[in-house]
Amino acid sequence: MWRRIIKNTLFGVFKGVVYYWVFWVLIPWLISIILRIPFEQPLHLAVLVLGVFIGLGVASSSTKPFIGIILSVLSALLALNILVGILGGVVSASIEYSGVFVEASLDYTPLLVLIVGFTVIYAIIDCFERFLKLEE
Amino acid sequence: MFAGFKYTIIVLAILTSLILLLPLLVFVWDITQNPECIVLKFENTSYINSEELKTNITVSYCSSIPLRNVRIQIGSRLVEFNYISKGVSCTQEIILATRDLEEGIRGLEASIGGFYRLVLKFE
Repeated sequence: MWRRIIKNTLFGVFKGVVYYWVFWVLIPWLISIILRIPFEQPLHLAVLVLGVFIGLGVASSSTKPFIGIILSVLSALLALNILVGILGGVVSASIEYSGVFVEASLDYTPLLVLIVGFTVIYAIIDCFERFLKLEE
Repeated sequence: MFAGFKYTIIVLAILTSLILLLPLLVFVWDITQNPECIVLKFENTSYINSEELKTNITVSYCSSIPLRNVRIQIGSRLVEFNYISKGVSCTQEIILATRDLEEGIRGLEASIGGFYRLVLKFE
């Protein structure tokens, strides 16, 4: 019993950290490296997001399967909200180009749509897999 | 049961994202390597009257990623080019107000490879 609870909790923490790392750290970092524009997020918000992801991960792996599916969907929705709401699809910056100050903005919505699309597909497959396990 | 499918989705997501990012990476690389990548020239300028002038605007471009729907704002006048590619100079004959020419180039809009919309506003 305790063994199973610890195993589920650790799996939930791992899942939450992976979600946090992919959607809060990795994707914004890659975009900032490619576009050479810094993404600065406040530390308290990062801790909050990490806490919510871990909480949802632990809850989804510890509760009954049907509730777990709903909580997993919530994790995916939060990830999508971070992608669409915080990254936004448009980056703006003031840069110096050949001695002239230029206000530049770049719309990278196609890339964001692709990432959001794959996230949705992954979440649907995950839910479907859990539903099948639930039926078994 | 779906583990293989999930890994395939992840690999597919990374690969397609990289393919979609490639034009942007090449464009950023070319621009940073050559700050004079986009060159605008006004040639054969002649005055029509005291307020208007006729000129040929020529755009030349160095990156291997083509630009689509290029809009250049000169003063209040908007000049549009459908497609600009590497090594090809595009020329358009335009009529400008002298006031527009005095104001100079105020902005540039273009779609990098047809995917990413770039807007530059000169201060």
